[in-house]
Amino acid sequence: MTKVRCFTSFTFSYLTRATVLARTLREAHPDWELWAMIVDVPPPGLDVSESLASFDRVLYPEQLRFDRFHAWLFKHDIVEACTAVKGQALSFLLESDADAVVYFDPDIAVFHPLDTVLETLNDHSVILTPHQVTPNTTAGHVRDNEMTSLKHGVYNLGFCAVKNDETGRAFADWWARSLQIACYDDVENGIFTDQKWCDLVPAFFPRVWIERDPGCNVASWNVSTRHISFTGDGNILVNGSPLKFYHYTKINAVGDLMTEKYAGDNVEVMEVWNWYKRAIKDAHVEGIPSGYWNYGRFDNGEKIPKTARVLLRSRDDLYAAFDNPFATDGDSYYNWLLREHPEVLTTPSGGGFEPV
Amino acid sequence: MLTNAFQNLFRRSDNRVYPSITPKTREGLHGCLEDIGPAGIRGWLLDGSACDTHLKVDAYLDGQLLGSGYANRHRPDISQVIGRPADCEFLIPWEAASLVRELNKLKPTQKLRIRVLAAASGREIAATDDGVRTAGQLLDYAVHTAAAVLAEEFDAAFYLANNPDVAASGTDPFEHYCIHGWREGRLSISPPIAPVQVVGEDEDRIAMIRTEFCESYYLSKNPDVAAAGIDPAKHYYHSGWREGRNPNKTFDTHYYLEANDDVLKAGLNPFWHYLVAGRKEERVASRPGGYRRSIIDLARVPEKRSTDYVVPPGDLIDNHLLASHINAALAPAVGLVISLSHDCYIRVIGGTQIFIADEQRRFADRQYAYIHLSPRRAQMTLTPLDAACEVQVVINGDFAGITTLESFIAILGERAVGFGKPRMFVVHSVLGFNEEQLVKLRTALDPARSVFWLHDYTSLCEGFNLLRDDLAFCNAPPVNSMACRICVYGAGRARHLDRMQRLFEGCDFDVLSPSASTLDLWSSRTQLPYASTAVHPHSQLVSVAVKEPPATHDAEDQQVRIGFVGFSASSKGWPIFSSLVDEFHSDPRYRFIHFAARGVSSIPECELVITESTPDDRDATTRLLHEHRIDFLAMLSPWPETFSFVAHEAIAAGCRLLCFSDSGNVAALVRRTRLGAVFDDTATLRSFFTGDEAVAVAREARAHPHRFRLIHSGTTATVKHFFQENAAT
Repeated sequence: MTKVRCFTSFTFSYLTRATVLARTLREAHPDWELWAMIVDVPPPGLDVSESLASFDRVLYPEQLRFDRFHAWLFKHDIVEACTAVKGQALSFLLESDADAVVYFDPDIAVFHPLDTVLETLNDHSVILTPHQVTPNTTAGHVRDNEMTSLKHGVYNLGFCAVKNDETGRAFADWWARSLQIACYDDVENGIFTDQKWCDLVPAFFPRVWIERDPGCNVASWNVSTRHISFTGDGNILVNGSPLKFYHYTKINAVGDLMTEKYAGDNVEVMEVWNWYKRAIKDAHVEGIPSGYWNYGRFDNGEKIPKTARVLLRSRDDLYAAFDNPFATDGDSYYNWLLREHPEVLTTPSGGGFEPV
Repeated sequence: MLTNAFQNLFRRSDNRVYPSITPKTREGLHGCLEDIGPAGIRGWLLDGSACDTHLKVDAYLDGQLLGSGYANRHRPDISQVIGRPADCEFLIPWEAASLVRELNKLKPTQKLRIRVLAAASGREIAATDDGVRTAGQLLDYAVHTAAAVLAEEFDAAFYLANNPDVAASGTDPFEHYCIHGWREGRLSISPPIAPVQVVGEDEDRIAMIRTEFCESYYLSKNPDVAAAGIDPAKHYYHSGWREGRNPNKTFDTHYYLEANDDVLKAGLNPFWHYLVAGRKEERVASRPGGYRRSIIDLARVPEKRSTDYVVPPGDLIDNHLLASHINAALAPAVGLVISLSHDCYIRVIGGTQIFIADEQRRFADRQYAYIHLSPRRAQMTLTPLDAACEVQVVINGDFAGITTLESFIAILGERAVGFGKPRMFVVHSVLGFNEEQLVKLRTALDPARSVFWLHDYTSLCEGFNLLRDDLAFCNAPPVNSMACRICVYGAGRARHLDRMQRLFEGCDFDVLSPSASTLDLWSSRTQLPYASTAVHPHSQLVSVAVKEPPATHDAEDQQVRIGFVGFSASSKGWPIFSSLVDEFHSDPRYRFIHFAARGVSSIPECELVITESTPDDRDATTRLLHEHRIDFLAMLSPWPETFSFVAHEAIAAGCRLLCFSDSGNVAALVRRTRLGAVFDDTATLRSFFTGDEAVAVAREARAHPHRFRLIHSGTTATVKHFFQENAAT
């Protein structure tokens, strides 16, 4: 792969993580073109070009082909929104002379060049990484890991690599269409954001490569079967294979507990974990209010409860009626809620993902 | 995208504690954070079903534990509302020293949020405002009120009784609490002993807890409970767990509640839950990773490691006075040595310091003046180039005063030019200096020889013992390696090596190593320019004849004695020794003895022998090891020590050494003398004790004792060819 475009999707509240991703990617692959897909509007006063200097290019969802963008976006909480744009962004980036497009979640850091992984695209069109590649053996471990994958998706879509060929583009277009239909945290109905859809990928498309390298996508959900060690010349190995990239899911939160629980006595995992905490602290950018997400509030500044989003997505008539549900003046969704369902606006914000 | 079985933890509904009390309140948690001000963090917390329980509260500053307190002050207004006496107010005073240190690094305008949680349930207590204060405001509170408020309430006797390590260290308990204790969850005052009322269901649960409850452990860790004379299991069941106390040494109450949100929310006794359900569900009893995890969590970037260091007080010495001291030293001298190290060797006891004292005396024998400089403010790094460097000056073993390095260079320069006799520049440590000034100092001295000692690996990394994250030997990998990326010493290593490069380029050092293994490692890893290298051991072992030991028959003499010398530090392998003691101390085959100076913390299962080597009593360690007939000395350093005095002293005392293959000079000594065993890892070390090998080797050693005399010889003053050249010039 000679020309690679790489992107991540995030809001400004995740800028520090995305910056660490970009810096580590740049170190491993200085020749890749790094794109920031930002599902947000910059906070007032932020020097956008400086704060996004780690990236080569910036993409906002308004530049993509979303029908009634604001109405559609309103149906999603922050994580749903950041994942829902991935399919279209992938299609967009494939409309170029790039040989391949790679996606990483912003909370990933890259530790080693991925040449051996991308070489697979010589014979394949899509690379996916499963959450687990080795079965756990005890009931508790299986409950926390395999059974969670059965609910949330076999493959972790914090990473995917797509060749710019007919199959790769077909996959991207299918994924974009699917996410336009439903990209929700709705496990009860068989949907989990952009991820659960991809259980279908090996069935729908030929030349899909399931990457089982234990050095790829190391995370709390697989660290029970992956042992991290260091070599005398300073390399980090996972089950003997170089650590390619680590996925720091829910760091500084429940991810800490899950990681330490499953790392057990392999405290070298916690060294890799602690480093990332320092790295994101060092990448801190002034001028982004805590918990900032432009699409997290109505235009009067009031926080949007998840229930208001769920109501809009469940009622076609409401969705059709309001082009910009973020608006609060006149004949707006907000005023309709105030009139018809005031309890929706006063419900404490429980459930859904919150910006950090 | 993320997936995780514990995703529901993010979906907490508003689970805060609110001040919703009425005259009918008979249950539930109620409380309010009322004020964050100069006196501290004040509010109240009440358990409606147990108004006489004084609940613990934890305050957090942007997620970091700030301090804890108890809701135990009387509140007439709340008593009036609920119609019962309510001692439910808490006040968490500012923890001055630690807070100031944290806040000083922030912009005064930076906003921080304070939250207070009911400790047992983890529920946040609703506040009258948003809890947000600026760093400047908090600093103001801390500086002006904290020390006084905290000092007034601090119970030194309670603190020392509950923290034997602090008592043993001899440090001021209040100072220890302010700097370390509060972070480690230690209590500053005695918590109230809650009244115990047993009902039927409780009796069943207490009976369950008793099955694995360790009374002796609980009472030894909680002298207040022992003093109260109450049933320890009942105490733990009713209130001990809420206060973060542990029922035995393997179950961590605080961790279990932190890791199991469902148990926390349900308000269940965590140990009971673990015994009846948690263990079957593969829940973990204590934080995984043990002492190794603690080491990496405590690892700090180098510049943060020395922020606690005390700066010696005193005004700078007058330049004329200092010049006259130097003149007086130079007048009778036939040569001059300027020597540098990280601390003032006449005021600090340690191996390197004794070595420098020895060096000074040997140079005195040669009639050389010996001027030693150490930074006034000890540092674990080179100092910034723009920072003024004040140095402590010791002339021929006497403290002369404190001056700026700049002034010293000016005074020295004037005299060195006209001195006309041999001059040497000897660097034992560069920590606390900056390379530009050292090059200027050397230029002013214009020495015939410049010597750089490899007492540690500072010239390869700021992590001077090459322990990645203080945990494991890193082998000084390439500076752009991934191991360096993730290590606390990695971020600054490239910059540090650039500075060392400038120092070595400016000094044309003869590099002296106290051991061949150290020089081999250093040479294979360094790119620094140097004039020469040589191995010059600090001490040498000379075999002496021994008489056959008397036959011994009593049980105590049959025990294999395993010793440990020095600080209980992880870089010396203490956690591994400690775990051996923990596992084998009740094994009648073994006896464990810790030889350490006064104030060094130890463990009760280990016999402590006060051992203090000084320049005037350099054989103290050898003598005591021999007197206590130590069979094995545990030298379990996880890094390649450049030279271990203790290892040589132990061999001289007739001991065998137990060490790891990465221990450099120590492993080399064992291999050379065949007096001991080298292990690849802790598993093989453990198996040495689990089976019969330790006993067999000790018996064999006792049957064929050895004894050596230790000759201290290896200072700069004993490198013969340095002086032959000087004599020639």
